[in-house]
Amino acid sequence: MTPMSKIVVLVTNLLCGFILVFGFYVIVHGHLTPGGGFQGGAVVASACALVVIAYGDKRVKERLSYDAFSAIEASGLIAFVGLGFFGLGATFFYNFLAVERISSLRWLFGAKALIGPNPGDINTGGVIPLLNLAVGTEVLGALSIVLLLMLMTYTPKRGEAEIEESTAGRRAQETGEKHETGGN
Amino acid sequence: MKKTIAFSALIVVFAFFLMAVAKMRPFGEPPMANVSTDWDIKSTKNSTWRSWHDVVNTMVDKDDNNDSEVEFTTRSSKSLVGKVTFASKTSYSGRSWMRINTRGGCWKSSGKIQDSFAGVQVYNKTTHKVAYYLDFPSPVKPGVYEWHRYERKIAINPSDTYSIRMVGIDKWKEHAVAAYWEYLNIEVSGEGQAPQETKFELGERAELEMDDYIIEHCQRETGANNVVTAVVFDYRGFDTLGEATVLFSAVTGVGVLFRRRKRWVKPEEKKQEA
Repeated sequence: MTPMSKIVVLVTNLLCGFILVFGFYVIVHGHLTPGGGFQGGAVVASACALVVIAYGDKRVKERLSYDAFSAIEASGLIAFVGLGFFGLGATFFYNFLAVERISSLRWLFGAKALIGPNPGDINTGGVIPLLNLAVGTEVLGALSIVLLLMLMTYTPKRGEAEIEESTAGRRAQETGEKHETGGN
Repeated sequence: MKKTIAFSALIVVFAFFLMAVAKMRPFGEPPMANVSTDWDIKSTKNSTWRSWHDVVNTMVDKDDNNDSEVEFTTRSSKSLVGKVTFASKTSYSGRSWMRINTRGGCWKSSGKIQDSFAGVQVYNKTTHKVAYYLDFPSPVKPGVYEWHRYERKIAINPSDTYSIRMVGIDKWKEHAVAAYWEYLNIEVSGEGQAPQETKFELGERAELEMDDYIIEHCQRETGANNVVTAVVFDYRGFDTLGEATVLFSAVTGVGVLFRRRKRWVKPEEKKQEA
């Protein structure tokens, strides 16, 4: 899997941050706007896919580690189940933080929501934003892990392996192509 | 790779800066949806008037004041249940009325006419009491249709939810009783500001109201504006746990499918091993 051209890398550099911000926005505003943990996590994982495609397997393996994403995914699922257990005073997955049920934890998404059509306040929803964060963490970890696992087992083709040996080989290939086009 | 991380960090920091600026509200408060209008009982311009001209032969229901269970013979499978909903008490001040304008009657197959009755019932679903019962006079003979026109004005509480239904009851469970109507007009009016929302729906069964309940009580109970997220993470949170488990097991399956003997090996380690 050779790294792609400079244009793709440049566009990835510019775009990746925006994709990450949009993904986290979808996760964090899940209780106010369309979207939620699953959707936002998928968007964040798409940024990971963009990096993998643009930079190629070799450089990605240097920076991104399978174990880190595995830990992220597992922590997301553990947080999700744990939040479910916290509500066990009433029922499993009880929304114990919402609408000032625990008045001392009002700052933790516990404010009362306005009734009727309104733009919404981020400090509402109780457990729902926290569950959104947990599921978003899990989904971004899971989908990135799928990508990285497929990258792990990737075996380069014959030509690619020689090209990837050194950057000099890459340069030679580029000049060769230029020479061919020039000749024509 | 370094450039990507640096750019991402920069944009994230910038986004947090923008959020902080937005939190300070430099352009004033965000605009609220203005749903309340002036309401005058004399003018019907702002009032909600909806009429139906479906002829429903029978609508029978259980009388909630009556403790004894009563069986009915329905001549039509179509149930007709109206509902008047006021969304919020805060936007409303003053009294309000509901005017029922209907044409219908009571029908009975046989037997003692005095022991059976039918009519329009206005049922307060918030306090679970019958707010008003419009009694249709019993027909002179069994098996005879009598049409009467009724107009009633009743006081209602704007913060409560009302359901309007046709009721036919036979006291001794022996005979078929039916209340029938030709049309039913409901007009809701009041002093001061208008209620936020007036809803009247037909063709619903009174028992299946889970969806309506969630839509109406979502903001009060969970505090979340997004009803879908409230359902997914609050009302049906256990289901979402199952979905998350499915995703986790799917990733595990991919890991098994693409497994290698060696774990993740960085290129430097590879060189050292070689």
